[in-house]
Amino acid sequence: MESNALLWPILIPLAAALLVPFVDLISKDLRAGFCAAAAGLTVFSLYRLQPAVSEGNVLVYWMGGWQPRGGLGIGISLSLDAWGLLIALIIAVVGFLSLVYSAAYLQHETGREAFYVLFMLLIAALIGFALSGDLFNQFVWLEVFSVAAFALTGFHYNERASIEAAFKYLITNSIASLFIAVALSLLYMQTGALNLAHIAATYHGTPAGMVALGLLVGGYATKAALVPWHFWLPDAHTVAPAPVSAFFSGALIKIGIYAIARSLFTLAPELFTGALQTPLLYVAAISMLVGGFQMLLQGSIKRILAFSSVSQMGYALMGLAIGTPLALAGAAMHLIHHALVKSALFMGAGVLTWQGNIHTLKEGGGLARRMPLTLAVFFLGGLSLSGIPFFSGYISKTILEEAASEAHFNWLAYTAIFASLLTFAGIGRLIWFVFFSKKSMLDGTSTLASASTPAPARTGEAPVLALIPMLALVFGSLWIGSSPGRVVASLAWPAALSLDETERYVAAVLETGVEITSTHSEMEDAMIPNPADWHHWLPPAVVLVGGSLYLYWMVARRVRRVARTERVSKQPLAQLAHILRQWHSGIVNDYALWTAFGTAFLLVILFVITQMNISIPSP
Amino acid sequence: MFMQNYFGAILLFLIGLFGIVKQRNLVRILLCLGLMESATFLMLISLGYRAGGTAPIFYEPSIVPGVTPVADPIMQALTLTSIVIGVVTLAMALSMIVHLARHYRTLDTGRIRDLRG
Repeated sequence: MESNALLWPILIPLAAALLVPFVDLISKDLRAGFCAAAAGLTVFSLYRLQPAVSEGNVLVYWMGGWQPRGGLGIGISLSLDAWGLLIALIIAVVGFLSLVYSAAYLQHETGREAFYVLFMLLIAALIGFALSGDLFNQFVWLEVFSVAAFALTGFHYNERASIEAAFKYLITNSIASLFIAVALSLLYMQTGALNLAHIAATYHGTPAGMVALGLLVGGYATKAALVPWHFWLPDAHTVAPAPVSAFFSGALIKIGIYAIARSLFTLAPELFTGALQTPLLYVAAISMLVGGFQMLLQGSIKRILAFSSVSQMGYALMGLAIGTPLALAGAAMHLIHHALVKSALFMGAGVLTWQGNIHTLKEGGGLARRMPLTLAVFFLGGLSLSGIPFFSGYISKTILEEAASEAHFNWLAYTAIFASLLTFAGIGRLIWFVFFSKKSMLDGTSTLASASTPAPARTGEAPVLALIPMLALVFGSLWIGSSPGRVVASLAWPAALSLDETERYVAAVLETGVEITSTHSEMEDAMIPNPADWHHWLPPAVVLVGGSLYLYWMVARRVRRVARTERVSKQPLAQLAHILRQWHSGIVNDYALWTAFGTAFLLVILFVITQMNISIPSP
Repeated sequence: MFMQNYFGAILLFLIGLFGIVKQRNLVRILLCLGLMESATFLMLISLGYRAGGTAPIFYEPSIVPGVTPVADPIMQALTLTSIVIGVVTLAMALSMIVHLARHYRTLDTGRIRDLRG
């Protein structure tokens, strides 16, 4: 289907980015409203396309009218299928709410017009990436949003930690971008095409093509912050302004998962099932566990939430790595769920920073009475994140665990449940120390050196403009969790199908005229978990009981944060904590090494499996 | 097709990567990143090479489509775009290094590690 409606979601935020300085000339108070209105229009322009896309159509627009001839796509195309629409909608909605929040948050900061220009540029580039049907254009959009994101990370350039994190982010992600550039040049060499559909139609699993695929997955895994490519994420999320952190966690890292799925399922489905599946299952499991454990070791509030993001991206990758339509639908649901909840939590952390000047757990305590609504956001968000029934997290995690046991990856399902337990304990720990404990219960050094001199805390609840987006996000999660049917049927299931049926995407973009009928029917109602059906309540029950036991033990024993000392006790858990803390060394060379190592590891595995026919056992 | 360009590109890429991992000075890390970028450009531009090829200007009467060998213009366009992108990243990173030097009074990566653990 030909449609120039695809241009609007990119053009609106891009035009807004250019117009912000002119709006400034009229009135400086209009900026936030103007940008939020533009983001709202973007949401609307995408939502308008949803009915056509959800039926399984692929909307295509060829720039300059360079249509494909005889199955060769030489022009530059924008193409939107259900998977792209899902990501674009997440970006636009989270962007809109972050902008509303920023109107309250940035009241007392300087350099705000730069902030809004960069933010709108970030939204435009991310949506451009999601809509682009061409590898090189994806690469250009990727660089545009990366540069905007580097600048927004270092927005507080007078704080040393802020610039430090931005620099680490820049180095690791530039290496990843170069991997992607090499990969696309290799694919061009192999297929003579840059268009995704064209490459998919002519791709053969030659060695050079395989190297390209490994490099693509490694590069995009850095954007998605999977272990061991994740080191930039906790730093960048911790120091960025709160609306930016919310948007990073809600939208920016999702684009990595989007692109991994595109390269795995649209470009080379055979290679995925043949070789890449097992290593990706391991990466997913390790991401979930490392993120979960690190949550329990952190002292900074935003760092806890950031490591939780690493863990949750592991869940999304788990869905992709299992690869059945059900698992893909679970991954899609998980992206929606995480976008809602984690942005709400980061906004809550921003409120703590700015109403109470609280950056770390040590500085918190006894805020429950002063900020009941913020506490509610943290409490409901924490429950949703750990997959408790009637929240969106329950829906996505149940689908993922079902899919894992259906595909005989029971070990992965158990790992996911255990990681949920860690998430529950981590968020519970945060809520306890910030809102309930008496002050000075927690020892240990602050991770943020700049936060060493706390100013007298302002008291009271956050302003209305900050509360509205937070509560909207959390109640959105509650709404999806109570009646999941509509969202699953209109967004997640079509997204999963469009990944599963590559031929349809290729045929629609290249206009080969081949009519391909869908082999899958509507998602059966039995696959959508009913939150009131207690047959699937065992995992959340385990999470609740186990997490509560940990929290009880922590409060009763007055556990101190594992301090960064030379003396490490012989206890195995303490040793594990020590190893994990040493691993996140803070030296940018190490982070670059791990980025390269992870990608090299994928390449080696690809070669071992495909060239020597050695299969890697799955536990 | 000339193999030495590809081997050169791979070698440059790996030298750059090794430098980023090994060098402790921020400016040197950036130089190594530039080396990796150059390796990518070399790779891209070499892919567009055709032996004896000329510029693909088809309204010139001397160039017959399908007969006269012409260089691949797409790769040249990609290389130019990549160079522009590389400059943006480089400028950004240099400005960050200036701020880092101002805050930390050092360019040693081993001492710029407030965020860790």
